[in-house]
Amino acid sequence: MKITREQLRALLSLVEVTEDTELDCGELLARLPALVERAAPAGALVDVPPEVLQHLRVCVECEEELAVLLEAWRADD
Amino acid sequence: MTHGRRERTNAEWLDALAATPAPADVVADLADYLRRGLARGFRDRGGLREHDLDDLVQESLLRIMEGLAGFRGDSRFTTWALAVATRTALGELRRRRTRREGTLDLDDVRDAAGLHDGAHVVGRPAVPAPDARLSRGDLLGTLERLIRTVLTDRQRAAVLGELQGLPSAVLAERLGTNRNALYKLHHDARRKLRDALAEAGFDATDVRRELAAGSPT
Repeated sequence: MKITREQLRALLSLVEVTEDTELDCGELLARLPALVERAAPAGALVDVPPEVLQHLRVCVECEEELAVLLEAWRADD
Repeated sequence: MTHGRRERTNAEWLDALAATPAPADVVADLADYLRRGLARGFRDRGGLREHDLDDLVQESLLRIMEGLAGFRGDSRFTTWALAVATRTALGELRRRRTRREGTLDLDDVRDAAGLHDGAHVVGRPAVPAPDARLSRGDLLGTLERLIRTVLTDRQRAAVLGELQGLPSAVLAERLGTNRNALYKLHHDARRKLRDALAEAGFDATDVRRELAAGSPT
């Protein structure tokens, strides 16, 4: 397996925004339901705490889970 | 919850689902809600096949019933349950994609981590020449070297596994850990790399310049 320069740039972009303390995935996911219920009708999140934004910036899986949950929940409300 | 089903409070959901056995009508209502939610959630992502949807709803129900104690009560119960279901579905889809695409296994990650002396950046030597190590010029080359020199084996595996697109659940399983611990490994690795790059003389301007150089024009 080889590490490409594109992969190194992807890692560098994460390293650049790394904070000393960050929420872990468990805490982030636990906050998602309440966060989603506060979303605007168009799906835009409101009053998102900075630590949540920070986690979403560096965790593609949690970001994806939020996006799918928003879609799943929005039309039902 | 709408669509003709009876509205329930959080307490009513919890009491019913904690019973043994849980009332069939309550379970059926929740299954119906999750089914419609998953169908909506994945509609713009290629959709889910009917039998997959059935399987995912059943798996989600099991996880919800086993995880009732994890409901914090700061949202509606149904929103929390839907979050469990979307996580379950995405986890399964990521696993399937890994199997289908034959994404690397942990041995590949170990190779990439330099544990078998097999790592190198494409087109570049595995170990930078002495003058390159002293130069601030090659940020990516320095980053590649730092991955092998400042990270622990597990931190390296966490970083490289993610770079290769290995789902966190799969990677965590192969490292004998869980998703939270894996995130901590990754976070610790990023902090070490950030600090080591700074010590090597690279600042935010260098990083932005490098990232801009790799951006599509």
